[in-house]
Amino acid sequence: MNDPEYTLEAELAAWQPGPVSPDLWKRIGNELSRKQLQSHIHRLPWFFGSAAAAACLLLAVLLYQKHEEAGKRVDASLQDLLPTLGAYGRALSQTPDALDQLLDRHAASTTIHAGVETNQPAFLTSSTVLQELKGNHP
Amino acid sequence: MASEHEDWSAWVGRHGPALVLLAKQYVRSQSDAEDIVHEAFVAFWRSRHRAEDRTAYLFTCVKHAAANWLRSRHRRDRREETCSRPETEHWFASDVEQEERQKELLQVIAELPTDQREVLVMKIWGGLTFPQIALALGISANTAASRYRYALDKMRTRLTMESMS
Repeated sequence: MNDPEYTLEAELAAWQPGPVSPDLWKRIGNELSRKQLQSHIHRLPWFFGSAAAAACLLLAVLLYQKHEEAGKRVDASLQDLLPTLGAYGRALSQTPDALDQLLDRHAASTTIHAGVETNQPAFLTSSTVLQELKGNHP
Repeated sequence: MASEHEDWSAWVGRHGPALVLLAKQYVRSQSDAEDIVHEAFVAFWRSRHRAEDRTAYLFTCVKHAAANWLRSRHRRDRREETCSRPETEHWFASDVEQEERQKELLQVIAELPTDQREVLVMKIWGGLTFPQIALALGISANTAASRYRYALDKMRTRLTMESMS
């Protein structure tokens, strides 16, 4: 206790700095409130931008799916529409009945369009190949 | 990690007086010191999550804010004007009969080099440990302790000389 350094230290510690002025409290409070508000405002464009981007992405996915489905339907109907070797091959790979049904459809279609002259051949391959496909080897 | 709703006023209440006192080691007037503490505290509050030791970091912010303040050209003019004015504001809350002793102590403290004064303020009125002071000032804990001891030695010598004269 008689250490002069300790005495001086104790004396200095006994002096307390004055409290923070009300003006400084107010300024700090206002600034922090303003900064907090600004940070919320700054986040708003990000929020709306993200929401818009998500909505666009969702719309794009939905449109793509719809387009894909429509494309598949069109493909399937187009593929079966013409009497091609590929169409008969696919039908034959499913069931023999499917090939018969396809042939019937094409026959009916030919009947419907019988009055219309066309240069397109009704079949794109010879009947021999078709027979081979059906498994009826000569 | 502290919550966003952590009470800033608790920090100002606990450390504010010492922060203003530290700022006064770099500038003369109370209003300039409060400007520095204002800037420092707002900067501290926004980035406090990154600090290893928040209390030490708060004092670092005051030192940095003071350095920026001193560098600012706009404020340099005001500083020069302020320096030319006699210092009339008191550092500590005190009674009238203690004012003489306070003046004497302040005079002695004012004669210390800035690096010793800042350590003195952080240790005695900021309540920081030497490792915290070291962290705040970017020096070693041994250097912080040495500066503190030098400051007290000089003060003691000076006060003894004054009491003898």
